[in-house]
Amino acid sequence: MNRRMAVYVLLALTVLMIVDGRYELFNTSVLYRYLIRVEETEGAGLDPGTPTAERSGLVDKTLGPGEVLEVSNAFGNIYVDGASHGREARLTYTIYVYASSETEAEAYLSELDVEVVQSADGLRVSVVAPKERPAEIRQVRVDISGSIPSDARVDISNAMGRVRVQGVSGPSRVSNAFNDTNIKNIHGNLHIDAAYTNLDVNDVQGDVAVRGNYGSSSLRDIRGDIFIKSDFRMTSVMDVIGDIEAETSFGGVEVKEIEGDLKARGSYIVIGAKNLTGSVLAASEYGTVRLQGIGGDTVVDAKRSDVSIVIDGPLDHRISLETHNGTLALRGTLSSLQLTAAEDGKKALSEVVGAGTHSIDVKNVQGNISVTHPPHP
Amino acid sequence: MKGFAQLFKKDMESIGLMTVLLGVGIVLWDVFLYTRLGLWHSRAVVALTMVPLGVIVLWVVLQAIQVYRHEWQTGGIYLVLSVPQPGWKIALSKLAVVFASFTIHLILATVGFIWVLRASASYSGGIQLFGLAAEALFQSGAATGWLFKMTLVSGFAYWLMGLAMAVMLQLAYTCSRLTSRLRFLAGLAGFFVIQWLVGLCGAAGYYVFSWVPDLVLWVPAHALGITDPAHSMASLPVQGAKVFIDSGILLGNALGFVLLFITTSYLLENVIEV
Repeated sequence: MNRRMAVYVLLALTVLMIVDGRYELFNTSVLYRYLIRVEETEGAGLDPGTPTAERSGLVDKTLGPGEVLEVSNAFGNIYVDGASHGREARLTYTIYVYASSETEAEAYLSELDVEVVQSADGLRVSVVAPKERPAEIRQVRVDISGSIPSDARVDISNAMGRVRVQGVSGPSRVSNAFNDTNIKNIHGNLHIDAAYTNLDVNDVQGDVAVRGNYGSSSLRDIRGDIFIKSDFRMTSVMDVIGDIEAETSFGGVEVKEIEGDLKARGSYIVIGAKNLTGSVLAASEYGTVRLQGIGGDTVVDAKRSDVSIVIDGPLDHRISLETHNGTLALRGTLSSLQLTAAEDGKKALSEVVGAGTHSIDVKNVQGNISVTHPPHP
Repeated sequence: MKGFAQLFKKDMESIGLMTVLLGVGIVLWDVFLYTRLGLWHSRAVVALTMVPLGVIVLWVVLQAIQVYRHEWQTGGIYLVLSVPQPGWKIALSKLAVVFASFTIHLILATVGFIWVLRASASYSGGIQLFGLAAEALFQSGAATGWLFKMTLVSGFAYWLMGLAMAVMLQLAYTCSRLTSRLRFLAGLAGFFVIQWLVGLCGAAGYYVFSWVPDLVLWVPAHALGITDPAHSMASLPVQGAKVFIDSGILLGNALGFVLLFITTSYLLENVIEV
C-alpha cells in the first residue's frame, strides 16, 4: 500500500463513519448500554451465600425508674420498646458471624459472647470478642431487640445499622450511623448523633439535640427546645412547642407550625420557616431564606443569598430592608412603598406599616430580597 | 532487542527532561498541600491532591504526540525509517516511552494522594467517619484487602485508559503524516475514525465474546450518585451494588487497540515516506 492508497482508505472510512453516524448503519451505541449493569442489593455488603454461623440468647434483668439500658455495638440492628407494666428488661440477641467457611464461623462464634453488667445506674450490654480477629472472619453482626420499663432510659451506641427506640424516658441518648434511626414517644430529653442516617423522631416530651452530618432528619411533635448541628443534611421540623436553634452548612432546616423562636445560621443552606409564633434570627451565606407567617420579629443577616418573606397576617411592622448589588422587590399591598435609597448598587427601604408592633430587619450583600403581603379577601 | 533499547533510549531523551520536571512538580504540589493541612479545609486539601491525576492524563496526550512530532521537527525520522528495524519496534518504543513517563507520574501522584489522605485523617471528621465505617463493616483485615483491591482495579483501569489514549493519538498523528497538506484535518479525521473503529470492535466483541463471564464488582450503591467518597464507601454495608461489566465489549475494545497499534506499525514500516 502506498501513501495515496492509505489516504483513500482514511477518506473512505471517514465517509462511512459519517454515514453510520447519520443513518445508524451499525447501531453500535445500543450495545454499549449493556457495558455496565448495576444491581442494587440490600444487605450486609457481603456476597450472598457467605458462610454464616449464628447464636441467639436472652437477657432477662430488672431496671428501676430512671435507670439506664446502655448498649454498645459495632454493627447490627437494635430495637428497644418501652413497656408500661413490670420492671423487666427482656432483650433477645442474635450474633451472626460471616466467614470464609462455616467451620471458621462456628469456631469464632464460640469465642463471642454478649456481656451484661448490672450496676446502680442500670444495665450495660456489650459484645465481648477476642482482641485478635482471624482474617477469615469477614464480619460480625449483633442484633438486639426487646423491651424495658417505660420509665427507664436508653444510652445506645451503634456504629452501624438500624436503630428503633420507642416509649422510654429521658434523658436518653442514641448514637447510630449509616442506616435508618427511628425514635418516638420519649418522655424526657433526647440526645441523638446520627451521621449518614435517615433520622425520624416523633413525639418527644423534652428537649432534643441532634448532631451528625449527611443523610436527613425529620423531627415532629416535640414539646421542648431543639438544637440541630448537622452539615450536608436537610432537617425538617414540624409541630414544636419550644425554641429551635440550628447550625448547618451545605444543607438546611425547614420548620413548620412552631410555637417558639427560630435561630438558624450557616452557609450554602436553605432556611425555611412557616407559621412560627415567635421571632426569627437567620444568618446565611450563599443560601436561601424563606419565611412565611412569622408572628414575632424577623432579623435576617445574609450574604449572597436570596431572601423572601411573606407576611400572612395584618400589616403591623417596622420594615427595614437593605441590599447591596441585589434586587429589592415589594409585592402585594407593599408594592406601593417607595425605596428610601437606590444608589451605587444599594437599595434600601425603611417604613412603618400599621402600628409597627413587630419588626422585619433584613440585610443582604450581593443577594435579593423580596417581601410580599398578599391582599386578603 | 538491542535495536529496541536504542530506540527507547533515543525517544526517552526527547521527553526525559519534561518527565523529570513534571515529576518534581507533582512532589512539590503534594508537599505544599501537606503543609496546608490544618490551615485549609481538609476535604479541599485531599481533593486538590487528585489534580495531578488529571494533569498527567493531559500529559499523556501531549507526550504521545510529541514523541512523533519530535522526529519530524529534528529530522530524526529520516534515520528512524532508514534503520533496519521493523515498524512495530519503532511504534512500541514510542508507546513504551510515553507509558514509562505516565507510570512514573501515576505512582508519584498516587503515593502523594495516599500520604496526604492519611495525614488528613486527624483533621477531617468525614475521613474519621469513613474509618469507623470500614472498621465496623469489615472488623478485620478484610477492610484493607477490599480497599486495596478496589484501588488496584481503579488504578489499573486508569492506567489502561492512558495506554489506550496514547495508542489512539499516535495513530492519529501518523495519519496526519499521510498527506503533505491539510495535515491537521487528516489527523482529526483519523482521530474520529479511530474512535469509531474501536467502538465497532467493542460492539463486535459483545457478540463474539459473549461466552466470557462478565466482570463483577461490589461497590457502594451511592458511589454511582454521590460525589462524597466517605459517604458512598460507608454505605456499602447496608446498600451494596453489584456492577456487571460486559467482558465481551471490553475484549472487543482491547482487540481494537491492538489492531490500531498494528496499523501504526504498518504505516511506519510501509507507507510513511519522508
